[in-house]
Amino acid sequence: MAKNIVVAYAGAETSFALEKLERAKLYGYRRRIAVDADGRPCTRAALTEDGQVLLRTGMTAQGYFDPNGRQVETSALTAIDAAGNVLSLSPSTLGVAQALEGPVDPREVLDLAISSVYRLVPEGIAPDLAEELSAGHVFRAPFNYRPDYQREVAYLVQNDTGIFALVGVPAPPPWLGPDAPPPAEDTAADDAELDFEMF
Amino acid sequence: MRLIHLTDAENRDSNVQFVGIASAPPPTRAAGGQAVLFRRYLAASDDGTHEALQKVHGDDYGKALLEGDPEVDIESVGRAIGATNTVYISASGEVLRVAPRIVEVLFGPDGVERERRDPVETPSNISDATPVRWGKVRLKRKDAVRRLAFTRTVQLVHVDGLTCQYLHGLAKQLDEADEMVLIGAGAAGRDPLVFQVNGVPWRGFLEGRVDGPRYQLLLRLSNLELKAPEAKA
Repeated sequence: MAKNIVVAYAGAETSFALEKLERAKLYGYRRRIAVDADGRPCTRAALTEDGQVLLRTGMTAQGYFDPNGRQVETSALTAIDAAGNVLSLSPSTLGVAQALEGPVDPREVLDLAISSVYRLVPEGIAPDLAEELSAGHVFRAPFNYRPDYQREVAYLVQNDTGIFALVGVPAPPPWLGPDAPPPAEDTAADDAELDFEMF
Repeated sequence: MRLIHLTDAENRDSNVQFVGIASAPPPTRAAGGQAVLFRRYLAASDDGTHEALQKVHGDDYGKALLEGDPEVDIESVGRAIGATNTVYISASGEVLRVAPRIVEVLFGPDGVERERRDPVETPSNISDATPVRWGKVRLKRKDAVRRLAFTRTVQLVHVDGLTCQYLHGLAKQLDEADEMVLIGAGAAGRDPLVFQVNGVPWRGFLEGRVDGPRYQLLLRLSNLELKAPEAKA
């Protein structure tokens, strides 16, 4: 069980139990399975491009390797930014009070590249925060589910059905003008589109 | 770049380009200040899988692993794996030489199977002859972010001076009203947007912003409402 999200607003702390919100839990899901001539499910395997090795489940592993080809233990891994500077590890924010900022402009939430959505169940919500959230205001707090080199942001919102945290990293879109060059294509998003498990 | 065929509230249509919004790439993994590569490699040959070892050495093959390393094939283990092709293995363990039949299985929110059927192919519907239309549903931005999780955004991009004017006008109209408008595909303009064959169906809301001659016309996509799952019985 994950620790709670704890936020501090107007001098009072509120603790929320969190539950990941996913499409499958709301609407169900679909899966495409391959069946053989007898209608029994097939398993997937991979064939190397040279046709030499058939890779069945349990035959592969993955890991990080240094430029000399030596495998790096997970415990020895760090991270660097685009300029090559070594980054420090941000601890998990769960269980540790995080200062809430806001109310914030809803455009900030729209510009968030959302990675996770959580339903929050308050364990005794501070009155000032309860009032602000029920008035439709949105608040922001630092968020890391687990220690990471990238710090995410959580936006807290409330509607008639509950309180939710939208988690991700800011991704503001570029402005376009008559003479501006077209923005760069995000090719990674195309890959994410191929999802057969959605209705 | 890909195209979307769009109309505005007055049914003026145009084909415009769109691009995904790129977020900052995650930090590069490193060791000793140097970037490291992530790669998949061969960890066991056919004779080194759990099933093969179990067959030869019995259920409790731990001792055999310690004494003789039967799972390690020096010739192949550690080999980097590049691109591969998917193959299917039948229930009896044979590699299929012909494409298998695909069955679509539907599960409810409780995880229980509801239906099995032949797969339904869903074509893309954003660049058809019938344009994507503005619907009647409009939400204030502050309400939209509290009702839906917009997990993907594409930005509409002009292709020439006329489409620049067109998109700037749409962005201005929406920005001034502080509204997002639901757009839909199909003859009635009510179908969810599907960007590619068998792609995820999305509910799309246009959001606009202007700053003088500059504009942002953003198609905010959601397939997740912010609501509590139904309690299990």
